[in-house]
Amino acid sequence: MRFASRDRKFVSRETQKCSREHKYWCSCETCTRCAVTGKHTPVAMLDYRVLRRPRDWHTTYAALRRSELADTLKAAKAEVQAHGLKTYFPALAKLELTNPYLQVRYDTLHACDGGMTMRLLIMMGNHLKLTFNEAKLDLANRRLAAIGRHDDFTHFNKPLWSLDDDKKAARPVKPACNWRCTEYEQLVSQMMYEFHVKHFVFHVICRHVPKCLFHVKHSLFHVKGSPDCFT
Amino acid sequence: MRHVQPNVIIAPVILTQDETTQDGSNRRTLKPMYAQFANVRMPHRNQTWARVCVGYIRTPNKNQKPKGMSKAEFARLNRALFNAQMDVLLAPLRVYQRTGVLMQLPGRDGELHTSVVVPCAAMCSYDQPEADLVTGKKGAYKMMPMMCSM
Repeated sequence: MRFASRDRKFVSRETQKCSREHKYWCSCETCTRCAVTGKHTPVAMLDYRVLRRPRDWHTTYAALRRSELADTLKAAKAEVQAHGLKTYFPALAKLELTNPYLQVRYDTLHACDGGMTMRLLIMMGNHLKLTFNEAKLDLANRRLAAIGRHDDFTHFNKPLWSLDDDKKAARPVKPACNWRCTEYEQLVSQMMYEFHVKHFVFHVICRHVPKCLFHVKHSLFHVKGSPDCFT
Repeated sequence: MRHVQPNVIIAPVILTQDETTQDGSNRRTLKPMYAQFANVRMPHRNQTWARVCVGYIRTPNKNQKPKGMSKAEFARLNRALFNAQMDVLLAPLRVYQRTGVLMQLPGRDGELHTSVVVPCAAMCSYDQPEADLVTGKKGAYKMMPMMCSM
């Protein structure tokens, strides 16, 4: 998202320089410069080494107030557009001594994946479809369906991915059901039939999980049983 | 403690919330909000007596979307409804933040002392979709270069 001209006065000089150099700019003011190469790249935005700066509360508070007092919905959207925010004033922000952008954090259940479990599953399904073909996607669904029922993993009888009927969709594969974290952990351990997928998942998790929280066990990537029984 | 008046105690509160299923078929979901004091020791924080369910937030059924209403408008009203419910659930906290609560608390000598306890939201723990809702942050947009942080 690009900053509107009137909001550029709120950002630092370095930020302005970066925003001129790169086309895309996140509303949370995170620099798109890669920590390794020093060049602007959208790939680096998934890098855990990139320090992400939270929104400035005073600036966003003023924008939210202006949005709340706007006469029309279009004017309200325009006030908060540059900050990547919705048009309502959050109830959490009405508490005193509370900065919602600093004090809202992921819970311990989502500390490993940052709450992006479903996004990882979508990326994995699209990787299978685009790298191989639909047959490989179907094979993965059938392999999961062949696994026995587990107390914490009750979705094995349903397909994980399905093709999106909408031809205008950005991604051809969409998830067919919702998953919980306990299921996700076991799902990853069961998905390691292909070395390519194994390498891809490890790559994705390394990109998404902060280094201090990176405690994925090596046993997570071990295949349980012979994969030949599912082919 | 040196920044507050005598006999005034700031009680840090941790708010947690996540969507959970309410029936066996996983077709009905609610979003319960739990509150717990942060000054309770970590091993005891997960005990039943250490937390309280403030209330439930209901998610409207998407199959009951009125005809003629666009998806964007329905989503906007859903967000407004979620925010209004959050407003109601956090109303007591806002009131007690201004006035404080008179409480009889045991001191170091074992005797009960009357103190003014002022609750304060120290940390709010949410996962990705709920964190976007409570902060009003956009989850994603076209050509989004990264998973946006707070």
